[in-house]
Amino acid sequence: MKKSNILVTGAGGFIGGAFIEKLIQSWDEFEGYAGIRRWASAARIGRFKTNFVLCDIMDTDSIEKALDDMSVIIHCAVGPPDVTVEGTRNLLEAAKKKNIDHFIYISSVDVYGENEGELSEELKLTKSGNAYGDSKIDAEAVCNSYIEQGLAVTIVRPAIVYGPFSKLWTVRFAERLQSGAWGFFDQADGYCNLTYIDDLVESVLSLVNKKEAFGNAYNIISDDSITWNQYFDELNNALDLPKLQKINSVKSNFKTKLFQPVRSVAKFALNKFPDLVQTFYTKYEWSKKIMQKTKTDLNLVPTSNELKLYNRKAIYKNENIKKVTSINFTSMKEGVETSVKWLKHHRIV
Amino acid sequence: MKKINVGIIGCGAIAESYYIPALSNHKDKIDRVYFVDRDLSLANNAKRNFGSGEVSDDLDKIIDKLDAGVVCLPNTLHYSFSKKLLEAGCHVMGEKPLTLKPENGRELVEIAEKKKVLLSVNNTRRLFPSYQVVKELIDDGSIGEIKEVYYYEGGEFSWPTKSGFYFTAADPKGVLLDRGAHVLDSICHWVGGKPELIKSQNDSFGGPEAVADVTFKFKDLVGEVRLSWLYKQENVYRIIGTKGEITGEIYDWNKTELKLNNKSSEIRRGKQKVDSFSEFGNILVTNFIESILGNEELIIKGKDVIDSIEWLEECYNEAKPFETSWYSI
Repeated sequence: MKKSNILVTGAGGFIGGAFIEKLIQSWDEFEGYAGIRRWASAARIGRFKTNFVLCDIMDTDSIEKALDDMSVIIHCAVGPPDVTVEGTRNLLEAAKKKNIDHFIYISSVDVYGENEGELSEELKLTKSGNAYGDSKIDAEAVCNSYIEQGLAVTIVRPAIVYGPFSKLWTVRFAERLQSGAWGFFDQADGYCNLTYIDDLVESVLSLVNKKEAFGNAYNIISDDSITWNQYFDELNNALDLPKLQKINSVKSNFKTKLFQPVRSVAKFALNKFPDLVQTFYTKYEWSKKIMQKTKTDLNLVPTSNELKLYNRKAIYKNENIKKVTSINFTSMKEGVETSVKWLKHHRIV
Repeated sequence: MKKINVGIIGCGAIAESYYIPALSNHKDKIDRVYFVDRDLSLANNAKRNFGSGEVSDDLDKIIDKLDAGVVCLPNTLHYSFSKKLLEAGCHVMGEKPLTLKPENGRELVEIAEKKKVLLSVNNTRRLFPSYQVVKELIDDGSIGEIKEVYYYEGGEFSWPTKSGFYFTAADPKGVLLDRGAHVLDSICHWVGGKPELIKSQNDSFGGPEAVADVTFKFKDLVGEVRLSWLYKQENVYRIIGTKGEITGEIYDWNKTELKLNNKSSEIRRGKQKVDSFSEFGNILVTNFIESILGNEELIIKGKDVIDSIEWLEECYNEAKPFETSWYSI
């Protein structure tokens, strides 16, 4: 049987890279193609015998070339809001032109904004002011317009995707916990909604040949309804670190507010004067030490948006994905233990 | 004063960021620069950045006009293009690694000697003042007999390669070749020879490895190297002797720390302070040009790095995979 060729955009990133690795390792019916914008992001997936396709989703010529001989697109590439939205539009237009069999868009539960309670895919999406979530809503709207034109599009909404190679939800928390400055937060009793990376990848690849998925959206979240504090505790235990201490809300709110101006200034300086910052970093010992200390301190203090996330009482329903796939979600314990083996291998902890 | 004609062979990222700015400081000693790349747009871009010169898409077309060539091509082409230049009687400055195979490296050294031309290579860390201090401290016995050597280096791969050669080569090699070419050479230089390999492991699944571990011994010392293209490591070297130890941050090229047993540590600095990495390009190119003109001795000769090329090859030949259980959950 002829293999289906799958182009994965954003293959140099955490989620795109996981698709490529899994396609190469365990999905014989598919041939994965790693869509990357620049070679600098190729180190992780390059370790395999990977088919690379240079592809910039803002460049329609490069997209059309990349889609030659492809039958499926798994679109993971993200960027600033305009790239997320217009890049998705460019890809969808090219997919229509090239008669792509199935376009799977990796969106996010951030489209639900600050809603709380049990949230299913049917909820009407409204913008919350969060640039990332709002751009995902806009990109989904573009997907829906192509569904109306007859293109086979499926939208997937993962939550907190953790596991090997997750900088945001695994590496960062492991480093925070290891520093000893992290703990149980009064504000972290909201639901964490973890998705183990392999579960996301397996669910989506199970959808590739499922016509009943066309035109639908699916939340992908594991079955554990655990809080952020429970996640911190599980990861902390797996790292074999001293027991976590409670950090009261007055103290954490104070530190968050105290560091906000520092964070803003640092961000502004890095964006506006990157060369000057680099010069100060390399030229003077004192400025290098200050910058290193500031970076460490900023990483250890949650932002106000993070505190809000940890406090959110939202549970994303996963019944719909279970109806169309036979996914068995990895337990948090197993996912965290495996993550820690990976962290230790890379000497991150 | 005789002026020389120089060819930049390969006009990608390293030529653009390192050699062209360095050559620009020596326009008084250069008659003409030839920019050679099969992608003429890159050659033209390089010429524009330099401000003058000629472009060509084929080395053969201009080789007879050259006195010297700087080989800035993907790793797999270093040997063949260096050989061609040397055989044509040109002095050669090669990007690291000089060659992939030690026998090819030795052959280049022989050709250079036969043709009476210079062969140098950009193993930049030999120019680091701190690394030179380390070598002096080891050689003068300051830390006694060396017992242990550790070198841990890692950070996200971010080289703006235009050709993607690491990922498209027929026989792909990754971080061990990229960073290892510097690291293994520094260790050979410091300890004064090629260590014996104990164990080599990496995470290649058929492509270029992104993480590599090497353990080794040399006379009475044992050592370990960890290299990563994926995550930041400690980024330090540590050399422990019977009388004390030397430690340093890899990219803090101006200073190293010496701690003798039962004494407090002291900072040792090199003779020359270097403010930015690009200055090393200037030091290297200046030395190459002045050596061609007979005014200086080459700091890094091709023959100096053959031990490390041989060791690198052994590390690849003997490499075993890491245990990666997270792929089988």
